Amino acid sequence: MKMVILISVLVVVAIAIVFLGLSFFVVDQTQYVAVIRFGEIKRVISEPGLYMRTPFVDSVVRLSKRFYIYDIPVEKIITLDKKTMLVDSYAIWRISDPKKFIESVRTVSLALSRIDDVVYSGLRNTLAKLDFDDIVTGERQSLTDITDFSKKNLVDFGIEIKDVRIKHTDLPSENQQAVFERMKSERRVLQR
Amino acid sequence: MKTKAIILIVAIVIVLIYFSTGIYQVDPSQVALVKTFGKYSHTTGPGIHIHAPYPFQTHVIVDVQTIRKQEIGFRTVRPGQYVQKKEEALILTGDGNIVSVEAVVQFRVNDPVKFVFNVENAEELVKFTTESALREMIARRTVDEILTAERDKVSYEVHQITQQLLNEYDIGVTVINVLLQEVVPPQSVIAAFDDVNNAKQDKERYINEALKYANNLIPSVEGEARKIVLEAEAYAQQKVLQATGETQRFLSILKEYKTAPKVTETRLKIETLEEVLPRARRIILLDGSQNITLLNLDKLIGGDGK
Repeated sequence: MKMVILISVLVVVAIAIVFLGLSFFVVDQTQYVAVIRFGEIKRVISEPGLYMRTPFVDSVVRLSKRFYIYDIPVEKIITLDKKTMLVDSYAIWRISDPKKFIESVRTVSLALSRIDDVVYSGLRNTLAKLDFDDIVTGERQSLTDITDFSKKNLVDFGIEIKDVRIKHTDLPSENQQAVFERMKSERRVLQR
Repeated sequence: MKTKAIILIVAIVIVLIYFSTGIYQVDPSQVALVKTFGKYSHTTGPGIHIHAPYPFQTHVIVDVQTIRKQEIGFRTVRPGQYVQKKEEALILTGDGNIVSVEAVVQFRVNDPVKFVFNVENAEELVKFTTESALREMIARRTVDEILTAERDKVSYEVHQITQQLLNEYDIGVTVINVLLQEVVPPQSVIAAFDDVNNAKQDKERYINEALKYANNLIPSVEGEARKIVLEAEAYAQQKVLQATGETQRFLSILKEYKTAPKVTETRLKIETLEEVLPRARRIILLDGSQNITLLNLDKLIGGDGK
């Protein structure tokens, strides 16, 4: 008899804990949380803390608030003077509007491909108007242009672009070989 | 009774394990950021600490003293052994050439809260930022400048720009140093560069050798020149003296001649003849009387001539 009472108390406690665990959730300092009920975004929480939800009905989607660094794959660009250039760039971005973000891209990997598209077209548009040497030596202004372009085009996805920068400008490997040959010949001139 | 004790012990152990999630240790170089229900509440320093157990409070430990580093253009496989990352190391210069640059950026966390909460992968961000600043600075210079005089300037400027950008991103990082490691021409060009250097060295060497030869030669030649000049001067002096002597003699003869012209004339003639004909054995004299006088000098002078 005593045993039965003890077990039933334990079961009740366990159920209570599970229920509480499902009713409350913690939003971390580094997160946004979207509470979704039957596919509809009920609310978005951007302040950290303890929150309540309706168990089994509300699901939570957690998104990072922090800045991401996206190393954009190397892209081939034709410059104004018809030279080919490999541009290795990266973007610093974060989710600025979780609601828009979930509605439009939903996941980070999808967001990356969106960023890829936008930054690539920004790079192409801006750099195609410049000569090769101008891009290599001083592209500060063009970087700002690219950043602004990307910002404008990604804001609808709930994405904020903090900065777009060029990590590397390279020549395609066959051109690189040509440069090496020229460097050698230049040295030979000096040698004389 | 026994089962009750076991249940009790198990329950106590479970409770203890649960509460131990609130005990944490912070090492001397670290700090811990304590979060209450996910919200950052305070920072604790080194030592053993307790906070409310999960899920009420959690903590993140950050190393704020240790100098962190990121490598650009190479990776350290193990201490003393490096692998070059060609695609990172090769950078276009302002004059359309390519150099291979390896660099290290050293940094420290100055604000752990920002470092942890503002960015997903702060270390990578530091690396990328340094890389792009480095590329920018290299692209402003010619290959010869980078390889020689401007090296220090490049690392200084990269340091400045990187710090400035990181401040903009607000990730709580202080850049301590940007150190350029190996800055060299690309592998396949390096031989040509070495050739030029060798040629320069050779030139230098030839010049030095020539200077040395000149330095040896000049003093001895100068000595010789001085000797010749001195000799010439001595000769001139001798000549002058000789001439003066001669003049003196002539003048004395002139004096004698003036006092006794006839005698002197005859004497001079005889002397001249003596001088001109020292070996003549016979002299034939023709005078106005058409007599031919034959002088046998051998006998006149005393006879044992040959």
